[in-house]
Amino acid sequence: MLNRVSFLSGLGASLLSLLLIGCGNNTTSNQTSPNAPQGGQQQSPTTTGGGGSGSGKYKVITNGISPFWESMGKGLTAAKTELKVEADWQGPNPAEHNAQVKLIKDAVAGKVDGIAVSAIEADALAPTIDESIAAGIPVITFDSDSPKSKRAAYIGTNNREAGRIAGQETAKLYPSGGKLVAFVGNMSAQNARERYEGFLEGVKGKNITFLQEPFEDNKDKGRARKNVEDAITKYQGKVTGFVGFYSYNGPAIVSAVEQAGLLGKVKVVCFDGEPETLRNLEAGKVDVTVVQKPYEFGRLSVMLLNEMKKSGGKGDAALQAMKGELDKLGMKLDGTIIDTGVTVVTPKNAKQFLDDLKAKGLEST
Amino acid sequence: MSAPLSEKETVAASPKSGEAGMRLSRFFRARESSVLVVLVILCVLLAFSKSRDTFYSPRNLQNLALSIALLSTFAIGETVVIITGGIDLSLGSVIAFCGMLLGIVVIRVGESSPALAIPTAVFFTLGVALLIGTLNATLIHRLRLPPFIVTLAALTFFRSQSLIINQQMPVTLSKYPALIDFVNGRVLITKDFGIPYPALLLIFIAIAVHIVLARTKVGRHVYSVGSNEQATRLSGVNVGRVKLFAYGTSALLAGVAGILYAGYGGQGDPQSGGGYELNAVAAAVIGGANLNGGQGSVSGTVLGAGLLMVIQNGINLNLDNASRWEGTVIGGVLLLAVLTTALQQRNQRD
Repeated sequence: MLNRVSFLSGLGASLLSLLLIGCGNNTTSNQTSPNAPQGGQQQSPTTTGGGGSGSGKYKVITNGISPFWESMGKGLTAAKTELKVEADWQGPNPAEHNAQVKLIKDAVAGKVDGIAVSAIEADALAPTIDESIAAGIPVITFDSDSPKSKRAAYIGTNNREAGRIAGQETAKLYPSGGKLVAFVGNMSAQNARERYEGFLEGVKGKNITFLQEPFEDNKDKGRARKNVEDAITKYQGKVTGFVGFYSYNGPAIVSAVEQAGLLGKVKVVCFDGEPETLRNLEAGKVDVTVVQKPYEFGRLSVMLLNEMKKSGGKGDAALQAMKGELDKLGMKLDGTIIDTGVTVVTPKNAKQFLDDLKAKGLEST
Repeated sequence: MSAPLSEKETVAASPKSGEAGMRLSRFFRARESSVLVVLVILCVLLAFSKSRDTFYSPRNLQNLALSIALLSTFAIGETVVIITGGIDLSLGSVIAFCGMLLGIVVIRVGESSPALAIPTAVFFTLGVALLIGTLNATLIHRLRLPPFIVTLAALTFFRSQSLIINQQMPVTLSKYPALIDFVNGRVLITKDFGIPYPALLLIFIAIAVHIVLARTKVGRHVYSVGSNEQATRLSGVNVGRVKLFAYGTSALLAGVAGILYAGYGGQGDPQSGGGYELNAVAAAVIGGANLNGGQGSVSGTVLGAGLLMVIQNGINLNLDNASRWEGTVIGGVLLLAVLTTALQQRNQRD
């Protein structure tokens, strides 16, 4: 009797799971956007009407899956709609180098017209990138570069510069100096180190010091908050502010600071624009955050790949053709590198910033 | 084909054999007391460390209680499964999935009837958690699939579902502060020290599961299935029901933990809980659970979780590049624990 019951309830659970898959917007692979009607036509690549030279088909490969890439995906959809081309994005699962290599090889085998990738292992990815270029498929990098490869261009944030700007903004918060503690996923990661070093440059000579090396959480969010609690315990009465170098560190800092009753008594500096961080900014719980422009990563990647297709794979010509668009956005082109820059958001301009995001259909960046 | 003389082991779990039962319980008591001794030594050592003032500050003890409670809540479930000789690798993903589910349901229901939002979401989430446990148990028992693989499949499946369910975005609970306040709230004992609500919840859960394991038939069967499944089945015990209890408890408590972690982080987060199942296994093993089954206890696991969290906290307060050392220390403790269990077993056999 009970066996039958358990079997039936098991069946119920599996049906429920299937139901859940059903409401998950049918996104088995990360097709650009759940509300993009073209998504369903992915399997018939020739159906989309295109420009004179035949519509392009582009693949954007991230370094994993996070809200950050959701904004990138919206930018990609915007470019795709505007240019009437096909494009979709995918993140390696697990988020590691070998899985990423496989995604690139799959895209090459699928004969796409161009690939944009955010490198997990900058140097190790170079041979794979060069291989697809040799096979006649242009590759650009975004968000995280692979400078030793033959990639035609890199679109992304200069993390050292972002760190420096955050440092300068922090210095403004402390006219007479401050003692800070920082939090990060792993200091061994290139972007973490660049942000940290840039930050130190930014606060140089302003009597602002870190009480210790950044606390590391290995990207475990529960741990991230625990670290903030421990930092508050360890440096109570000494610490005057907290810096979160990774996107999720911001919300973790605010939760712990709020819980310890230190809101307003310490300053909070964040990186990136997780939804929670943006809300906290509006509420005045975060003093400043430095945000990147993932929406533009996606949009510009597709635009650039499309220009390259038009110019027969020539990166230089394509980058020159992008000049007008980049000027409009106030972005710098330096050789083959497009520096997308950062935006500084404080409680003062938070509302305006959020309104701008919402206009693009985003709730985070 | 029946295993000769294997009744000896099953007898240990039957209510009548008081002597064997007593030996068993003495054994567990010994194990727990050794963990307790290590824990006390560690706390005394910390009193002489750089962190003597900060470690014993009311705020830190409060934070420590909260972190122990969060880990123990689902480690207790893992312990029950380990005692049956199984393993549940799906906990971390179930924690994330349940956190997401809670966030989504609370917002959906909240649109029409705000007052019902939280209770509905909590019950729905726990119901789904229970279903997940039932599904695991069914696959493992009815289809005779190895627990390692079934729960590994659940681990990847529910991680991916957590990502899909809200297009990879976290779900904020900021409109429902009661959930956040519960996890962060406390019953004040003195002016600046209180016991966090999740710690009180843990005490309740721990006592309940302990009573079931120690005082009820199904609890004794949990041990005997872990000691010798075939003999237990031959003695007429419904093994499927025992596994249903074990995996159901495990998933249900992961659901509770999922709700607590969502409150802790202020949001349902599709990426939370990554690798937490291994923390649960570590806590259980340090507390005396044996991956071969048949051994383990609630109090041991809570003490194991306590030891893990005190180590983590102590390192964080004393060292500057803490997390790099943590793995080394915890790895060492884990090895020591397994070694102790193995030696105790060998002694017993001799």
